[in-house]
Amino acid sequence: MTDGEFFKPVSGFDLPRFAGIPTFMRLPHVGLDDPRLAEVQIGLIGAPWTGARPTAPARATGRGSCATCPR
Amino acid sequence: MIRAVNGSTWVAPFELARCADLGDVAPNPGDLMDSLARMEAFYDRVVAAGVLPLTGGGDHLCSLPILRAVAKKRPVGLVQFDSHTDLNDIYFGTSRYNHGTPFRRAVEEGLIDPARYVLVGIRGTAYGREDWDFAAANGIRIIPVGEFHRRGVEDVMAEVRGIVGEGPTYLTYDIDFVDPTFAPGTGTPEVGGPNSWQALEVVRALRGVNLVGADLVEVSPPFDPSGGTAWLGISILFEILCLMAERVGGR
Repeated sequence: MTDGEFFKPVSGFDLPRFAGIPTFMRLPHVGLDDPRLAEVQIGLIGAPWTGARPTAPARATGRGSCATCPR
Repeated sequence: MIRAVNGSTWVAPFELARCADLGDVAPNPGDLMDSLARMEAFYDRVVAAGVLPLTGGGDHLCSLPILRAVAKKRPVGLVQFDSHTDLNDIYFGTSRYNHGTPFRRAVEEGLIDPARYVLVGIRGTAYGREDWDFAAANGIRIIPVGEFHRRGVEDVMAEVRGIVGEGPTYLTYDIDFVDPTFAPGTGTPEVGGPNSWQALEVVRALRGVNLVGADLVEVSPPFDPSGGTAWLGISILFEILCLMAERVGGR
């Protein structure tokens, strides 16, 4: 069982908000092949897919918008 | 600037649930149908692992393959905050899968229980009445933005909670639900929408709903170089995360 602290976001008191590897909510990255996936209860996922818009050219979104902006 | 505790509800999601960033699902930019298949396969694995998915899109078609995964075993209820119904049938004579059709397809595929499906905030000019007629014929409740403004968040959301009830429910939030004053960074903005406070309050009003997953879609940073729309988007995602963490943590 992974230490519960692993699944906590990095606090802005410990690492300045302009530093670190950007993730959603500053959470740890656990890919689908990571054995710790079995312990995850809520998974944040980026879906950078805008290939289905008849009204505007495709534009990258997903974590490009939500994870790396103000954090 | 997301911190660990919700300053309005005092929910501390990371104390209630083990949360992680699962990375990005990889579309095939050259093949729409393969992208749908890839996304469904990704979310199949997420659901099989017992993980509740909270997704940052992407356009609104992203919700369809996610629903195919989370509703594989039984239909789910759906709460949709949006300025458009996305219940259209076909674009350009042949396009049945685009960001204006996902919930038409999801209803047809039996992924959504129409009696437990409610849309909030619909407005703007329309192609016609076809999508509304489809909703009426299937018993789907649409709460247009005029009714939303007249009745207010509390009253409208009490009705929404009643419609979805206790059963498994998916939440889909199109950022164009919010007025473009607050969320200009989206491809199809519609004026006359809720403000940024109401945008958060409608989510908080879903406390207790049995969420099996959620998404926030249609944030498009190039349309808003200020970054304000993305900031509102991540703030909405945090509110949704608080709801899901309360469900997981048993409150």
